[in-house]
Amino acid sequence: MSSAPLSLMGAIELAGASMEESQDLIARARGGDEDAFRHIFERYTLPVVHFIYCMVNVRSEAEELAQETFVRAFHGMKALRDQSRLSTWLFGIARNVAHEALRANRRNSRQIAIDEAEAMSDDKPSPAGELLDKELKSVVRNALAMLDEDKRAVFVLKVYQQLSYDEISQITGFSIPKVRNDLYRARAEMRLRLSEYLGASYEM
Amino acid sequence: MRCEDCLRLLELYLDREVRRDTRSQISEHLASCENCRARYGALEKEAAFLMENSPAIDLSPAFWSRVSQQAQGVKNSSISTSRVAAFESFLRRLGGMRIGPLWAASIVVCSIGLTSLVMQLINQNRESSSSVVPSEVATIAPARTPGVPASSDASLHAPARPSKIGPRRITQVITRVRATTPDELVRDAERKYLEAIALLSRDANRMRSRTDREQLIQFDQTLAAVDRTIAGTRRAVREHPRDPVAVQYMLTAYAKKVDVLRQMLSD
Repeated sequence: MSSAPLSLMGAIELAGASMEESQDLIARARGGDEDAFRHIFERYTLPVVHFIYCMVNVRSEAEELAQETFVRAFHGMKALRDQSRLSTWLFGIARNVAHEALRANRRNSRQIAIDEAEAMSDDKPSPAGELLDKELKSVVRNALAMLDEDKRAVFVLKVYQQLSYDEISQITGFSIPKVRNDLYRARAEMRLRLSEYLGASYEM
Repeated sequence: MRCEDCLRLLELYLDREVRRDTRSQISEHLASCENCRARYGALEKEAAFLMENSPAIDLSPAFWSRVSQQAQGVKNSSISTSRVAAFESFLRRLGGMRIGPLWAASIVVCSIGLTSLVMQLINQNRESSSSVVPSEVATIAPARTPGVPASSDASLHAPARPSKIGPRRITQVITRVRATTPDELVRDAERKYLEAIALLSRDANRMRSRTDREQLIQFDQTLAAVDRTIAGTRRAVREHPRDPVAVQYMLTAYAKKVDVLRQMLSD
């Protein structure tokens, strides 16, 4: 998958759908129409899976938790008051789901130390360049895993999902100054951990 | 604007989170200050590096059909709630139990036989609560594919025909592992299963193009159901690491996946 960023907008704009059609879709989804729900939320699938993967760092768990996110969203549609913020609402659910999973994992002192990425991956022979890419991705993934949870959430939402501080604040419930502060520190920590890959002149 | 003010605001500038007038002041400063410009260039490069090496994850094609199944499942969950609650309270009661290496080894040996009962129970339950899951999940018995010799010499590490690896074979490999601690033993067992699954998945993927579409969809749904079970049992093991039942349960789920993959390869 290419983990291209998804720029989220505040109001929903469904491809090829007029305002009225969008309202109709939302109304149907709220009434429990699965097709309508999927039509609205399908484009957030990859961003949500990617966000959760960055948060929990366990491949097999990420998809499962993303599914849980969409199931909760489906059942929560009825109670949704502000329809103009569907994307931040959805990411808020994803963040809660990831948070609960992390808390459950923490309760256990022992993590199952298997790098599933290695074990489950299709190990076809890859050229040297590809191998290096894979290594770099895993270096970044591990650096992310070392951030504390709040900083990691803010960092991923900004750097990968490219959301505004305001949107991140809505998703996480943090104040804007906390978002700014956490992001600044997360960047500094990441820079430190990735310094040998980033080259010189990054110390700020 | 002074350099230190500019540098302080540089990340906010990158994120487009400064007021318009401040933004133009910073732009002006960057145009004239080589040092600050270099810092800004480094920030941009850093962002590009992070984006390029963003953790990559594939999405299963069955993602939305699973969401749909689960959404239905929530509606029907009242059927199974009591059974799940009973199982959970059983887990909690066992939670404090300490187990030694020998005990753990015997658990792993017995895991498949003992838990097939639990799995059957759960599969039956799932079958009755969701019509989407194909009945194969419940009917595939562990390690009974006709024509596959149980005494096959296929090695896990150099398999000419990975499809000959059965749960029985894997159990043998697992029991040969020198047990030091229960944790290590479980990890070893899990790793062996993951190796086998990786090999079988690779073969199964190669066969996809030759497989009938309808069969493929059914196969994917079955795998999806097994994957869900694996994820669920792994979570249980993480929450109750010293619980033999949770461990058995998880290993049986892995065995089930090996079975489903073997089934596909033998068809």
